Amino acid sequence: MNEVLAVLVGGLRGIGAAHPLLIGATCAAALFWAACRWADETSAPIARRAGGLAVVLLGLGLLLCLGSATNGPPPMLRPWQWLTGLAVLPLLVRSTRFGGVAALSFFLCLAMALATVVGWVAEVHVVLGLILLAGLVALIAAVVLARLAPRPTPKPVAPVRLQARLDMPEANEAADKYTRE
Amino acid sequence: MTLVMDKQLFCPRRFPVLGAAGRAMLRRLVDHPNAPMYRDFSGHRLTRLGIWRARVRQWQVMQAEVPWPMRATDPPPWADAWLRQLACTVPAARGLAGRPWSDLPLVSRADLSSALHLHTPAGLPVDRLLCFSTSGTTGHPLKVPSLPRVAAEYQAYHRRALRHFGTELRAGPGQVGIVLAGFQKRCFTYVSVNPLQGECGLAKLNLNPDEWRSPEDRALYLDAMAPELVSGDPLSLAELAGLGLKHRPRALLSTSMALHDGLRRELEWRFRCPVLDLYSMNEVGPIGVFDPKVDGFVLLQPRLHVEIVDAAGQPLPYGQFGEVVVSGGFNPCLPLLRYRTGDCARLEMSARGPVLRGLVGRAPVRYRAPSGRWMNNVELSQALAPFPLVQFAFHQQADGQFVLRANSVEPLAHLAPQLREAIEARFGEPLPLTIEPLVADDKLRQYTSDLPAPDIAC
Repeated sequence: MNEVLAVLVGGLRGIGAAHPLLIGATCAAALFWAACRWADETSAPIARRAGGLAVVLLGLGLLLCLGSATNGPPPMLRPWQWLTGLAVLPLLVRSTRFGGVAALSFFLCLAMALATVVGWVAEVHVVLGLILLAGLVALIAAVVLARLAPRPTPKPVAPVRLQARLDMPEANEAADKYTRE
Repeated sequence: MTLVMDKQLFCPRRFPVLGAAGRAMLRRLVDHPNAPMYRDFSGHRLTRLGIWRARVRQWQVMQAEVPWPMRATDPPPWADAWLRQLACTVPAARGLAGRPWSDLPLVSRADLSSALHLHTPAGLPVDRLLCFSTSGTTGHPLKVPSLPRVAAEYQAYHRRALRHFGTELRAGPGQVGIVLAGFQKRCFTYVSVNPLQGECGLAKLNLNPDEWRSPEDRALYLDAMAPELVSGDPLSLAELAGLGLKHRPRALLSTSMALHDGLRRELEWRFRCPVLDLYSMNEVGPIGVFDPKVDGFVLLQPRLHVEIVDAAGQPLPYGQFGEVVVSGGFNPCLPLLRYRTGDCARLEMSARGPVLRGLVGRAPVRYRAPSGRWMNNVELSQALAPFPLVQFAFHQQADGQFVLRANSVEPLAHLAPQLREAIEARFGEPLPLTIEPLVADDKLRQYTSDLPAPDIAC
């Protein structure tokens, strides 16, 4: 039993310890595919849920991969630096001039924080391998279920609710159009 | 001067994103000494994410080409995938996936009006919906569900139309991008800014002199604001031409009613700029723009399939005259599948892509009051809007008598005195009016008159 576990952990470590660019590119492509499956309104709800789970797992994997790569050695940022970033950068996200840079830097700090926290409780590469594997399984399940599960039948919006909204003054204020018809 | 509070003018619900330039512009539009009475409030309602999304959509629309099938009876290339999606999301399209295009049932305004909920997608964000009401000419009032990003996408199609005439929009911070001019007894008037063009100004105003402190203020205000574009219907643009403006907009956009060739030329000569006649509907958005060089309406929407059908609903080949039917569009709240517009035209090839020629169906109708004053059909639409009419037709006979035929939710006998009162109030005098019940007819023209129309040229 211990040998099986050791082989499994070794396999996961092998996946997680692959070159970050290889993991990043594969994970990004899989994430895009999973997002498409999740957003596909013509698929059965269970297939969309599997797609959504794949999005979460692969997104987490991508973040952990980034954190693991930037965390060292030597680490790109010291703990006090990414802690400060996590606290301060959200305040700048709404800024027109610095919003984009602030958002990117925040995700970098978040990735480093995630990798550090995961490193306290387990081996990062093993956890990364496990998340990536689970994400890929969820993606495969979403693709298969989208083909096998029966497509949903649309339920109409409640007519009273729709009419009530369309009669509201707020809805009738509408929004800017350049012309009236 | 009516004081407008900052709280109302800069309301975050209407302007989730509003910078210093936008605030200054709104104040300038409202506080100008010659400004009209702005009665209402509206805004772009776009969040920061929505603004970026609108920018991307604008770029996509400007780059895309309108598909051009070899045979007019062929479905568009995106039809199969789109129909599969509709069959899973829109109740009225259930079971239609995989059927031949010409076998798909046509949808009329009456269908939308009577069961709108069956034609909207199941996952519609009801609590965020906006409403654009339309009376139309077929007698079926309709409330079109929409979203702020749909309203913002109109600009992309207008830019596309303007590019046909070699005009690119340039208005930026501190300038007024557009004035939407109405010429009615009452209309929705407000000021706003356009976040896609550096928060340049937008004003929807009424050229009716009663809405201004002095009739001369109209020209003074418009000259001071110097809008890059002016949009309106032929009646308001004709009124605009008579104001003696010094300012020359870069283009005029005419919608809502048919623009006669003589008035178009007159406006072009008066303002020395292109006058775009847009074929546009609330349910569909801008469908085409009239290009005199090809003598037809050039199609504007890459994801809108336009076909011409015969009386039996079968698609007709290029060059044959029939009813205009559209599918697709850019409003996710109301995906249109073979929607009958009620207008008739021929679809033909031209050097500038597919064009609609011989379009018939949107002539403005004016009515003569016993005092000799003329009133247009938009006024009547407004007067009748509060009443629960399923369908109605308003006609003036050659002897000046009026006939209102109506099919209403409430008994017509109860409603008739109120209808008479509303119409007479709008005309401002008692009318020789008969009110009768209407037997439903989908081909009904809502506004008709036996009297010759007055000259509306400038």
